[in-house]
Amino acid sequence: MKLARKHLGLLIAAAVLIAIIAVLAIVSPWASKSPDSIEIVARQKAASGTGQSAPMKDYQVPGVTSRSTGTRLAGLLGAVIALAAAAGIGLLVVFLNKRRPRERLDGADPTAG
Amino acid sequence: MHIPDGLLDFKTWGTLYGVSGGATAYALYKVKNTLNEKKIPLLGITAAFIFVAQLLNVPVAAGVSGHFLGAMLACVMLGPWEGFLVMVVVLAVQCLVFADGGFAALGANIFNMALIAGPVCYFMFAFSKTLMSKKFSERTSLLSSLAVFSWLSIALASAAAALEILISNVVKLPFASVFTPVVGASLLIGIGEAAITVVVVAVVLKARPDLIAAYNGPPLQAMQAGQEVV
Repeated sequence: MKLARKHLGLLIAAAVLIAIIAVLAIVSPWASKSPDSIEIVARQKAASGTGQSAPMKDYQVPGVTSRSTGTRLAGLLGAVIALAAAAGIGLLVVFLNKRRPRERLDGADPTAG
Repeated sequence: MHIPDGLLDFKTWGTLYGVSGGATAYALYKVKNTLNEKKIPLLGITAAFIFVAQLLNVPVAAGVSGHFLGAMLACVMLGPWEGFLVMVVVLAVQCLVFADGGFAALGANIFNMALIAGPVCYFMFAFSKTLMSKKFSERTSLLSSLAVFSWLSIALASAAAALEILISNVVKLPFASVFTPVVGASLLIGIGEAAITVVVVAVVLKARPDLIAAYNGPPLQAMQAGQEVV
């Protein structure tokens, strides 16, 4: 409980941020369906829209028939993937950076000489 | 602003893969000195926020939409190269998982939306902030420089995308029918970009100034001193 109280501000901030992210994903089906300026350029070329394959192509989840539910789910899943990937890269950098001084202690001091 | 496949020729997308790959390696090398455990949850949350915010297209003109980018937001909050890496993650997820932005064009999209709209605009922002802070408060200098350069980040990223499409000349369209509409729409989208970026940074600055990497103002030193005592 003491730990929870100490980090209450941080927990509230995290909850608020996660709520904002979830709300944005939930309202995403109501976003404008109009193409952006570069899509408009792409559509002027006859052979546009190459068959690029992806697990959740065009923000739709395979097996979900409702397009708006698909968009919401894809938004939430994408947010989780982006969160995990960015935090994962950060963790990896911090981990690799921490390991280096220890390696120096094992072997010869690279700064010597 | 994501370029799909089929608009760029090999020399353009190949070159930009090289530049973006090099920038990513440099960023990974650079963040070693500034990244710590405290920043990691913030990296993840920022990436998730930018990802969902980019889903929300708003109409900017008849039949044209646009959306928030977030590169300057990420750079100001996390530091220029951490911000760049967050944008690389978002663009890679959009491309690989959702087919948003072409696979061959990923290097070009990273160059435009992560590098130009990120660190390139960030360093101009930092220069402007330093000049302004001689006459104004740190907070005023930061927020007004941020308004200008987050607006400019959209214009520059769009101009780069338009020029890449024109140099590739796969679409064989005249300059005016690519550059003018793409950059024209970006000038309007940039207003929204600047508004969202400034509001988010102002709110965080009020609550937790220590979470804004670009901020170096008075309440911060007091906070850091206080934290060391506790």
